Formats: sequence, structure tokens, C-alpha cells
Amino acid sequence: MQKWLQQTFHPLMPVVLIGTAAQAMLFSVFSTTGFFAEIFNLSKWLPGFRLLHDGFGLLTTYTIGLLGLLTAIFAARAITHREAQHAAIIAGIAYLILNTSRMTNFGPNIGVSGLLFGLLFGSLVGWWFNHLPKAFATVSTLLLTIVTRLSWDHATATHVLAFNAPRGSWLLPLNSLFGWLGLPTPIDVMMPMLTGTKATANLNAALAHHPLPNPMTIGTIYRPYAMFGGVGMTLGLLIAILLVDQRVNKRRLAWWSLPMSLVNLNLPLLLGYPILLQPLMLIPFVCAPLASCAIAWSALALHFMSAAVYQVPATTPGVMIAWLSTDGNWPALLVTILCLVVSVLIYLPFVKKVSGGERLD
Amino acid sequence: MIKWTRYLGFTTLVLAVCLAIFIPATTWMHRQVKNAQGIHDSRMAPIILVPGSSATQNRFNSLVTTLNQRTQGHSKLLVTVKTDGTLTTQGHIAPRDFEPYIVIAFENNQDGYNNIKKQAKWFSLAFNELSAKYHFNHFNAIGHSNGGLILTLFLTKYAKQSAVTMNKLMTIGTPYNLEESNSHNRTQMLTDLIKARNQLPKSLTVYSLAGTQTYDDDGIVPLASVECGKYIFQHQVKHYTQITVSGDQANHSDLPQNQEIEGYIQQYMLTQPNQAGVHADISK
Repeated sequence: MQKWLQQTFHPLMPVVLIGTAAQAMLFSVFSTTGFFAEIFNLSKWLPGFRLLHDGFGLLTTYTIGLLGLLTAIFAARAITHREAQHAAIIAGIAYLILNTSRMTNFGPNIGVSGLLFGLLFGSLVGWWFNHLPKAFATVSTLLLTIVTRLSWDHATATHVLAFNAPRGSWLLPLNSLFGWLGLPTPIDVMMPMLTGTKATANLNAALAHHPLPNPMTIGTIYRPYAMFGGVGMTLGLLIAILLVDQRVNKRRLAWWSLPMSLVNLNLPLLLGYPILLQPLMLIPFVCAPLASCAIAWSALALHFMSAAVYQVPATTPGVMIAWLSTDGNWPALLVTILCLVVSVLIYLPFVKKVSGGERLD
Repeated sequence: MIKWTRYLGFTTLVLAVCLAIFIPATTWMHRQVKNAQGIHDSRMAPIILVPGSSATQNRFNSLVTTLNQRTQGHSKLLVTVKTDGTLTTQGHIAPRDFEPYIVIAFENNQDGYNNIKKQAKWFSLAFNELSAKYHFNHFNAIGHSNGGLILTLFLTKYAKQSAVTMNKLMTIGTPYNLEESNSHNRTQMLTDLIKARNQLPKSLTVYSLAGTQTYDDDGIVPLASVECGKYIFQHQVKHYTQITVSGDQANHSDLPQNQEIEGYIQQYMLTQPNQAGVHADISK
């Protein structure tokens, strides 16, 4: 299991790092709604802003925009014993056939959201190739995917599949679980922040100097206090790695993912450390955000700090979201620091355990 | 030793980068919130005038007439609050007039601290009714004599409950220490107001205008009593300015018709002096 994941994602790490870096630049600097673009008003004076926006957009699309497809190819390559190259190519073609369907919106996807599907599909194709003759495996794979793709189209035509954004506090652990599985998370880090109906009601009340109608929401607790570095409070993980993990390659990974973690993108850490599908790492990945939520909830309930009401860009560094979206509330900044410290403490023992005994220099 | 300096350099660099992001981000956010506040604030921001004791809703007619000769498009609504809290109104607010004058007077317009407290209560009743009816959430206020006391009392006692913000307050010849000319002898009212001063809005701008006929008073209110306003407003509101007017028409009752004071009102209190396309008929 470990070997399979490692062999699949290890060759993809350069693509993941470059892609996430490009995405970080695209979202935080070269988009009009990006954090740095907003605070320095970059779109107004920076020469070549549009051009760089397009450039980084393309770079993002051609790297992590293909990650689902690449995962399918490399998973097949990792699983297959003989003829790995051939199985990988067939897996790629078959995955592309599936992706010609309208189902791609919520099914397999050639981008990051197709990570888990790609992994499973590629592995399945690899397994198929291991157990059947090459020619038969090739033909049957292609035929089966074509049939599946056609029947899916029929399914989408007859059943209108609509996913409503789920609600409720059970979303908080679920969000981490989805991230851990490599699925798109219900509460996405790059979603615009504090724009829902509840947040709008809060904003109007705040501007009218009224008490807030919805002080405890995902927008006032989870987004500003439990998403530092991305889903799962991975900024805490990053700091824990830099504190106790002695492995040179993991430390390098942590340093390289630091700038992206600051704008809440954690794909390199997720795939490289790794967290994805690692049973042990699931525990802090779920617990750290929950602990932060508990702290923020208590601070709000005790009226220790004011609630986050003002909209900020999604790429705002995690530790600054609360400070900014409360328009400079010092207690909120204190709670932010407390949440970060607690999440580091939660990750520490797990990082120690994972890195223990392995001192490869 | 080398390692130590390297750490120091690294820490300094990190701190510098953090500040370089933190400070512009914070100022940007303040600007954003201010803009949001601006969009949220209603376009209607009336100027509410409160007369002093013994005066009726017609107290400011001459002032408004003069101001309307100098500016354009401000209508006038006269309101009297009866002792049971009901309102009688005269005049109306013209369509598209975002800065009308609203005069709020009281059926019981007697002097005395107890009465002023009642008037502040009546004022808050009328105010809530008017702000709901005309949909405004910020306003400027002018109080002559005891009218200034009523407004100040309203700010300390009732304004917090309503969602409406007073941006500017101008008091004209307002005796913050009643008839007492020695500022060391604080009246009960002044003591109460000073005690409640932390309830005043931090964003408020206050102008306190005093008239002088002699060197000490305007014929009725001692200058020292007006100046006691500083004990209430200074260090509490955003700006507190005290202006003393002397010369022609500087006695207490003439202050609202004083040419200088009319000029100050036009200059400081009117934010949209000329509103084109508003037909404000105030002759009635």
C-alpha cells in the first residue's frame, strides 16, 4: 500500500510542486481578487499583469490541471509488473475516454479533483494487466470504458444529479476526511470567503452596529481559524516538520511548500509528506481543525473576540484571515496564534512517529 | 558565533517580510470596511435641529430660510412631540432630498434638568419613529441652548439602542453647566453627563458655539458653562471644537440668526449644500 502510493506520487512531485507554485502565484498575485493583488492594487500598476495571469493560468492547467490523468497513468505504471509502460498508456487513454462525459463535473476528472478516481482507476487497469494477457487486457479495458462512458451519459440524461452544498457541523471532520481521500472538499479553501446569505446578514448587521444574527458559522469559525495552510491546518504540520523531522528530503519539501502554504495551498504536503490515504496522519488531519474550531467557538461564545464578518480574499494567509475579517481585532489575532500553536502540538507526536528511526542524510 | 548572526539575520528578514504584508493588508482592510460602510449608509442624512426651552418648532424658521437662500434644495419638516409621545408634523421632506432639515420641538418645553431628561426621552421616541419612516441611518444634529443638552443626553442614554449614527453635532450656546458660571461648581447634570461620556460615539465630530455679549456671557448663558462641554467631549469624541462668537446678534436668543453662525452651519453641517432637482417648498 505504502509502496504503491509512493511509486505513484513520487515521480509526480516536480509537477505537483511547479503546478502548486504556479497556482499560488495565479490565485494570490496575478488575479484581481488575489490577496497580494488586492492589498498592493497590483492590477492597476504592475506591467504585464494580464499576460502573467494568462501565463500562470496555462502553467497551472498543464500541470495540476492534469493531475487526475497523470495519477491514473502513474498508478497503472506502479502496479503493473510487466509491460508497465504499455499499461500506463492504456490507462491514460481509457481515463481520457471516461472524461469525455458530462459526468466529469462530479465523477472522474483529469484535474486535482480526479485524484482519487485516477488512483483507483489506474490501479484497477494495472491489476487487470497483471492478471490477463496484454492484448486482451488492452482491448477489454478500452471497450469497457467506452461502454461505461456511454451508459453514464444515459444516466446523467435520465437522472438529474444535483449536489447541494452540504451544511452542518458534521461537515468539519468530513472536510478533512475528503481532503485526506484526495476528493474535492465540501468547504474548499479557494472558495470566496464570507459571501453566503448568513455572512451577508452578519455583514449588514455589523455595518448597522447591530448584534450579529449568525455568530457561529463555518465562515466565522472554520474558515478563519481552522484552515491555516489549507484543509487540515497543514501550516501546523509544516511547522511541526521543521521542528522535529530530521529527514533532509522532508525538510526540503516543507521549506518549498512554505510559500504555497501561506496562501493556503497544501497539495505538495498532502502528496509528498504524505498525508493522502495515510491512516496515521488522518488523526491529526481531522483533530487539528476540530481543536481550532473548539477554541474559536469558545472565544466567540465568551465574547472574547469579535466575529469575522468582512470579506477577504481566499488566498489571504491563514493566520491573517481572522485579523483582517474582523477589521483588526486584537483578541482575534491572539486566538489565531493559539489555534496555530495547538495545531502544531497536535501534529508534533505524529510527525515524530512518522519520522522516528529514519535518519537518512 | 557565525551561526548566531545568521539566525539574527534570518529572523530580521522574516519579520520585515511579515510587516511588509501585515501593514498594507491592515490598511487595505480598513479602507474596504470604510467603503462598505459608505455603501451601506443611507443616502438620506438629515440635519436634525432641536430648539431650547420655551421655543417651538418654528424656532429655526428664519435660520432655515436664510440657509436656503444660500444653498439649494433642502426641505423642512417640523415635528412637535406631545407629552404622551405622539408626534404632530408640519411640512414634508421633498422627493430626492437627501439632506432635509427636521426640527424636533416639544409640547412641554420647560427648563430644568428633570424636564430636559424627559425631553431627551421624547426626542428618542420621535427620532426612532422618524428614522424608521424616512429610512436614514446617519444624521447631523444642531441644538440651540437646552436643545444641545437634549441631544447630548440622547447620545449618552438612548443612541446606543438605535442603529443610527450621529456624524456631527453642533451645539449653539448650550449651557453644559446650566446657569453656573464657575466651572468648579459642577451641577448634577454636568456630573451625570461626564459620568456617561464613555457612551458617546467615538466617531462623532462636535462643534460647540458660544455667543458673548460681555466678556462672560451671552446675556443668559455664562461662557464658562458652555466651555464645560470640554469635560464631556474632549478626549472622548473624534473632534471637539469650541468657537466663541461676539459682535452683532451675539446674545443668546439671537444666536440661531447670527450671520457668522449661519455661515458655520453652512460650512460645517451641510454635506450636500446644493441638491439639484429637488423642489423644496419651505414657504409653508
